[in-house]
Amino acid sequence: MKYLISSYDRIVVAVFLLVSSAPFFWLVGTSLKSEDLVQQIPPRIIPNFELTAYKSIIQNESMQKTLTNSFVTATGATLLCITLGTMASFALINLSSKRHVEFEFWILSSRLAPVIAIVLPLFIVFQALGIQDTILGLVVAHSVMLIGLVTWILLETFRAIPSDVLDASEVDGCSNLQIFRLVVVPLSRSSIIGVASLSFLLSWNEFFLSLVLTSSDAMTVQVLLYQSIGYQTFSLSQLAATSVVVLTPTIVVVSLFQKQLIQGLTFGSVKG
Amino acid sequence: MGKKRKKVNKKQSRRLFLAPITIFLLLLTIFPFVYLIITSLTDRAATSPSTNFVGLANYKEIFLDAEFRYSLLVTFVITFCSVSVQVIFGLILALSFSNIRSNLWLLRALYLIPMAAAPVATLFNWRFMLSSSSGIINYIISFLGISEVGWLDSRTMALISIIMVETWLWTPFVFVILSAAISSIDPSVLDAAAIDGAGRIRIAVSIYIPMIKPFLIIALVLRIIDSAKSFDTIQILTQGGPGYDTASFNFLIFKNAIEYLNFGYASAEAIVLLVILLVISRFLFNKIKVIEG
Repeated sequence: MKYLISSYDRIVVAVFLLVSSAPFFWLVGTSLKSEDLVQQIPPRIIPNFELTAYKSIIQNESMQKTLTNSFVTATGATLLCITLGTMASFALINLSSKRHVEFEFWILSSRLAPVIAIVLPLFIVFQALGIQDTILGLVVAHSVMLIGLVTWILLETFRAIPSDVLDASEVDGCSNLQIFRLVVVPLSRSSIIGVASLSFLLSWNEFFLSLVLTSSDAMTVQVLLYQSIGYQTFSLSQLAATSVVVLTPTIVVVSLFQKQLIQGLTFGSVKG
Repeated sequence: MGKKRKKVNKKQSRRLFLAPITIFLLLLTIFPFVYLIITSLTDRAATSPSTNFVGLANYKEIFLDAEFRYSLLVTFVITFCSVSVQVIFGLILALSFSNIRSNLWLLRALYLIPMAAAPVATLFNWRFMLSSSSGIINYIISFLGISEVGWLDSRTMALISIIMVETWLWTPFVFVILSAAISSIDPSVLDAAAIDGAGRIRIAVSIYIPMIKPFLIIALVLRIIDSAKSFDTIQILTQGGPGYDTASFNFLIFKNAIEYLNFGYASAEAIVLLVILLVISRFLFNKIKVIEG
């Protein structure tokens, strides 16, 4: 039975694969076309494999600046979230299961809140404090968005450490700080790296907060890309090339850290 | 005895590790939220020098505002259509994926890329592909004898385009959740049904769907909530246009807050959105509880 129907299944799987990946081929193709070819009507499917667009965006100053801003922001937000998140998860490691459910509900409810409800007060307060359009402000805002998710995945990881290990290190006279630094963190290293990559990706991809909270100095590459679509400061193949560059972290995380990615994106309904 | 007390103290002193995150969250979520509520009761705007307490006037105005009602309708249409299509497609894909029994991580990774990709990059690409004169999509459908479609030019077409792109973006999300649920079903149940002569639709309806129902609902709830707050797709594809035809509620709040700097009114709108989301999710979560027993 299973084998009789599997040609239908293969077709379904293939069609979905084609539909979900075709736009990316088109994007990469566009980035490899020369300017006159992009504008051509009817559109040409096969690019002429020119790297002019990539060369010109790499040399562009505003592109360099916004890429750096995005990188620094994502790194800063990740470091902040991982630091606060590992510490909090360590404190919550022995949480009773009832409290654990409450904690999960709190995390889930933070997902309910529309981002505008958080960003609007931040926007007003940041203006008053003068940290509007600074990397610091953006790092803080991104961390607010990420911290619940990061802490929650880390807590799941830490709770998987056998309690014997923790008890043994306690009996051996380790202080809490030592248990944290020498036992818990090293044992969870691979998960922490996974969560950090996910958090980097989400901050790097983030558009809404960056659009609201930055205007020039701290502008991220996502906002620059968005603005360029309207103002035609860049050509279409340059925009496509920028998009391809912007997608690099996605490719890295999808191929190396699928487990944390699935956990994070589906908010724990799937353990990955 | 002494040792035990020491151990308890140690566990308690671990709570100190909670201090940084607590301070962080108090300062950056609780305080802004309280601030939001207070602002929503004022006429605060960047354009006027003084701020006055106006009570519930903003809320009253919202409910009389035709723009607000229209934006709710837009949000509802986009959410209802795109989420139903996503769930149907996600289910079809998850069933077929489990039938071919290939758990290739590479294949799953390729499905994941749309939702893990930077929204600005993918949406810019879609806008470019949907362009009416030089877009690839109109070129492809011209071979089917369909003449040039103005994908983003009229209200109906712009809504259809938004729903289409949202479906492309988020079907993988439903797929991932359902596919995990399906892989946890005991295969012997399915083999027994197949031996009994049950056809593929019969197996899907009588075995798969009832067994994965809780996950189906979780996927539905998360998608409804996210879709009701969706911003990026509208902002990049249509900017709420043509006119205000595709301005969802979340988009409208953004406009009022960040472009017109009407902080008081926008805060009240944000609170209304928050309440709507809370009510909907409360209702849906209760459904999950009933099903899980």
